[in-house]
Amino acid sequence: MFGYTGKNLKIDLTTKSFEIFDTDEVLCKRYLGGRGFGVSIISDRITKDPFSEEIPIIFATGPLLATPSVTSGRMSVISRSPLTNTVFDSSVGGRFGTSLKKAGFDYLEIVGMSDKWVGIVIDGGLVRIEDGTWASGLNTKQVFEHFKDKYSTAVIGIAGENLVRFASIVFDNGHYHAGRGGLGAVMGYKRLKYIAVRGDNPIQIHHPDSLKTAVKDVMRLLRASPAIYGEFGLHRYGTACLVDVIHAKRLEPTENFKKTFFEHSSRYSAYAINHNYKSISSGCNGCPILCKKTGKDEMPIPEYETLSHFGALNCNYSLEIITEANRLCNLYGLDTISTASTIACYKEISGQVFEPKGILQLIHDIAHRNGNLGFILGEGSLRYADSVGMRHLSMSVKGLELPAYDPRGSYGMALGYAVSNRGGCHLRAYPISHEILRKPVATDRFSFEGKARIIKIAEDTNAIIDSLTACKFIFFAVSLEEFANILNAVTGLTHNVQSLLEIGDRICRLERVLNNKNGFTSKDDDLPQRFFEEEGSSSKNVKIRPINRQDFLDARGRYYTLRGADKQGRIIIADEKAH
Amino acid sequence: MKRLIEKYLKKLEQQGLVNPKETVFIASDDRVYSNTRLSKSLVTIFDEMNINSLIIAKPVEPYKKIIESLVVSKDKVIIPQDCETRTFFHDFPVIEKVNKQSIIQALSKRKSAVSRDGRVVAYGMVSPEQAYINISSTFFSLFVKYFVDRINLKEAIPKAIYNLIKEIQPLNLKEGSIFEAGKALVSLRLVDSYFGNISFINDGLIHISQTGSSLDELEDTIVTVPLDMSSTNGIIASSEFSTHRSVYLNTDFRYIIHGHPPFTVIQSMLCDERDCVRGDMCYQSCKKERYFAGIPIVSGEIGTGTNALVNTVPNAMKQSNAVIVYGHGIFVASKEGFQQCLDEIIRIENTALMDILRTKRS
Repeated sequence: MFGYTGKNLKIDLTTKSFEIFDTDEVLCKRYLGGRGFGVSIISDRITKDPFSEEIPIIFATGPLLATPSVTSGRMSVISRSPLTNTVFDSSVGGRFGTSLKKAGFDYLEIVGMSDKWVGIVIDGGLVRIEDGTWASGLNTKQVFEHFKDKYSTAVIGIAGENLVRFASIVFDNGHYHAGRGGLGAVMGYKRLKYIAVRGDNPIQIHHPDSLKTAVKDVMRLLRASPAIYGEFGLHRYGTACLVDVIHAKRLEPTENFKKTFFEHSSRYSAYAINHNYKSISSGCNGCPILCKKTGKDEMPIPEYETLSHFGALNCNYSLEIITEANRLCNLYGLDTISTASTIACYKEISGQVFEPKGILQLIHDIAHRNGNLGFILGEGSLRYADSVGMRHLSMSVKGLELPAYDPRGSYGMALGYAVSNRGGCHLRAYPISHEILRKPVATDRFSFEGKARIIKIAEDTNAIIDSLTACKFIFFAVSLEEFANILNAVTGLTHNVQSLLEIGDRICRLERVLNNKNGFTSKDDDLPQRFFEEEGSSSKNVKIRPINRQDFLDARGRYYTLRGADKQGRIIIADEKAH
Repeated sequence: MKRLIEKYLKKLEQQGLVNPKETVFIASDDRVYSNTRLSKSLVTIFDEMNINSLIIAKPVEPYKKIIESLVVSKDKVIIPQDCETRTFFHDFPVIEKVNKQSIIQALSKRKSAVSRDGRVVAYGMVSPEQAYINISSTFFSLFVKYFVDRINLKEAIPKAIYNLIKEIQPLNLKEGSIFEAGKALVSLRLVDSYFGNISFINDGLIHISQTGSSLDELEDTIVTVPLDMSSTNGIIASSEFSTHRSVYLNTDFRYIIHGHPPFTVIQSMLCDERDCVRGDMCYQSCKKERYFAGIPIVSGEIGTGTNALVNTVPNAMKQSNAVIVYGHGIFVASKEGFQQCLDEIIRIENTALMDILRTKRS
């Protein structure tokens, strides 16, 4: 099997046993890898509670991983989210995926629940479930220091141990995260503190020369892309490059989305960061973009969503506080978007005004579940807001807190957030690419015209990217046309754009079917009412109006038609055979 | 959708590429829209392809004769060597017949394709605008390839074709604004589809067209970027922003136009050098000093990177108000205003055109 190892590892933490078995070729054909593998594997257990022995957590690699393909150093973690209750995948960079594949496995599936804290060590083909009690109570950095650089490691922090519903899994010295959806809490429930892996098996490539040519085509497009290699692009500034343009377009979520413009955001813009920290670029294995920026002592510099949500969303313009909040979230293993948004929700509901440093105390309290407040905020903004009768003030979809793009200034994003299978997520369809960054072409950001089809195709495309497992950023510059050539060169298959999109559609439909099984319908494919009732921060030139409810519902209806769903958002013809 | 179809059909007509009545433009959201009555197989093409829009274009002259001549051979693929093909299209498959199956087969691999009967098909994944860009750029690349191949093979340009090509008439800008200059570039066909860009500098601020903006619709698509880079707004600026900025930093010019005048591009690709060690890599680097009509011709790929034009154009502009980039286009700068840039780009394009028609015709 070119591009695959042909072997997988399943570990049962209840019995402390494991088995190694062959990769199903039909699974590869129908779901490619990564996210596709994960949603297919979990499909027969998706109704199990996220906090149960039966629910699996899957670490899945893709066919391009550990090959000379461009930006293919990623992998996906898949389970059922304790925050949203949906099927949930998280794409993560770093070198864990590469190490897992080189250790000889296409995916790792973990089920069961240990009676005490454990860690998993995979050393080439050798697998060990070891006592992890030494690591319990430690922050992620302390665990990383234990393993140094000998292994690639996936670790949960105190938040995961305490089952905070938006606890993350932190990888490779704190630079990479399976950030969203509380997958760290799934590990925490299983009492799995860490996984360490290494390996050096080469991956077989079907046609190395064709791969070289295909990679060359991609590199040419990358160099032509302002968003990637331009003077303001990701290569130079990381995702912080978005602060200024989102600010200028007035879709910057401010004060728990009450406003869409924060006058102080230049204090934490890419320019300000560059001025304050002498940053160094790094990135995932095999990536030429190098979007990760680190400061002194390898301190991760906050990414766009973190900057904006610990900044504008919480009315804080101190770069120092944002950086410290980011550091704490990394140490405790917390998703920065959900953490910042839950705090902003609390601020609005409680009416409390506190110093920026108060943000840091709340992060600490949430991670440790300190007191009643720490406990309830650790449940996420929706459960918290619901508990005080203010559900409408949780700025979330399906319980997943919204990222840093206000939907009133990006109607594709409004639709994308609403119909996303994993909740309020910008990465399922990322319409910011065409509505703001004008790639591959610009679309009218204040119109739903044509957006249903755009969102559907973009979701399918991104499902493929997550299954290959490549990086979404590269698709600012290239298309599936170029990646089909890369995939074919690696695997010897004969894919083209349309055959890949068919697989993408299969993955997205299966995810929706799985959510339908857990009771999700059109009532969940919706936005907080604020966006339909309140105006954003308009200027003389740009009006940020409330979204017209009927226009939104019409667009959502069109999306359902294209997705093969009924008016309640339920898939009409399910893909019965998961794999 | 209907509105977008009409808008981009009109643009194709204004560019002198197609007759809208002989062109099929289809776009879809949850249902299919078109400018014409569709056969059942074309209606259902959207069930089998995850695309947003599709154009089947029948070229008008001179493109008709040019494209028909390119598909006479039995080659299954056409590979022009200009920058747009190299960077974005890679190549153009040739299909024997325009039918549903052949369209799906070709467009599952490439953005556009050419049929043996001379029609061009292209799709858009995101919007009808994208299908328009793909068609328009395909016409440009095929046009350039036709002339470059003929001249390199020392074949004469048929009278039937050169009679259809006219010199560009000078145009006076009334106000000299960036918007007016952009419109002039489009109306004079000095740029194809959405390629090309334009900027001026004032008080330390560069005002430049956004990436992927149509130069005749610049009213809402100028982005202002500080020369000192203190804002990253420029992430949505033209992909050639770095080149514009470098020119402003290294010269006294205050206005820059970057266009894709076809005959200038063709001239840039004609080289008599024999036994050149670069082979077909002239677009990346060339050690020979080359000029056309006194204007330097440099190598350089789009954007950044070692072989990018950001490293070649600004240097050449220290000595010249215009620079031609191999297989790509031209940068023209001025200290006075856009009128001077426009006059110069017209002069160079007319010189290029006349040189080819005078010396290479049958």
